[in-house]
Amino acid sequence: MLPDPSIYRQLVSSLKYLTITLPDISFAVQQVSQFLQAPHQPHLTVVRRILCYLKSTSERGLFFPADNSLQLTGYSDADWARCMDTRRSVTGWCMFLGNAFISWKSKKQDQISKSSTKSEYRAISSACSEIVWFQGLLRELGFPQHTPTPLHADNTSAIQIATNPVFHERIKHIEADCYYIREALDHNILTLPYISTEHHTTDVFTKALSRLRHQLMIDKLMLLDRPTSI
Amino acid sequence: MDDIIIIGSNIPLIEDLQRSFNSELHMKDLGHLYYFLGLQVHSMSNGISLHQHKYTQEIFLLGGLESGNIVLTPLEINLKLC
Repeated sequence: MLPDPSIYRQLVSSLKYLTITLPDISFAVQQVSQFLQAPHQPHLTVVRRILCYLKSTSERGLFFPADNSLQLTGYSDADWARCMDTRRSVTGWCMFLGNAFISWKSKKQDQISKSSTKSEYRAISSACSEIVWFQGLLRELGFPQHTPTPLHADNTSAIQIATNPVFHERIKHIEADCYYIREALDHNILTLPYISTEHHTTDVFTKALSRLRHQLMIDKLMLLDRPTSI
Repeated sequence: MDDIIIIGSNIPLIEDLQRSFNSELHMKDLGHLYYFLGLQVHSMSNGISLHQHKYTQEIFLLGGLESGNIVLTPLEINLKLC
């Protein structure tokens, strides 16, 4: 364990605050924040790597375009059994208002899922709660959503279970999440279109990516370098 | 001392609100929003950009990393942390 864990804690909490405008570090920060209680040297090394990454992004910020549609869109994903130690999955979802990137989540699930579909379901259910909240907020601000919010997912069996009641026997164990999502579908709160993994925008919130893939995600999330020069 | 941010697309309405605040409270208009709790705001003709450049520099000082290697991803692939 580190002789003085306080510097580790300070750095990680500062990095957490930084995720407000740098969602691309959310997953990395989520990873290092699991060791606040008893950080070791390798954990500090990972924190230092995040800092080195920030060196390359010090001009970066989130961009919100002025001529923007007000249609809410969501993307939901789960990385099954991602955590090597506990085999828990990681939830990752994100929301766009038109082209503007407005909300996201990267979080280790608090229960173990025995199948990828189940972990996917938990992620969709969590994203669904966010959609319900956003629709309420937008209504209050005078921008009600007139069509259901598309929540894109890349797991076909999760989508099938939600849209087809015949699968009931197989999903008894995740009933609450399942019924919640079905109810949202029935009430036209959301739709669940399929999106291929390649075009998904959520893997930056569920795992570490290659340089190329990471850069692609940054572009999709409207993270722009040198915003002053646009 | 507390700060308040007023956001809206209707300028006369914002001015109205400011006047009504002013009649009840002692307030000072700090002008356009540029900096709030470490958050920097850039208004441009085509949109708004939010960033934390100043705050990032402070983290570099805290981490003792004024100079160091630059990497292009925040995390190594398949890293085992536990």
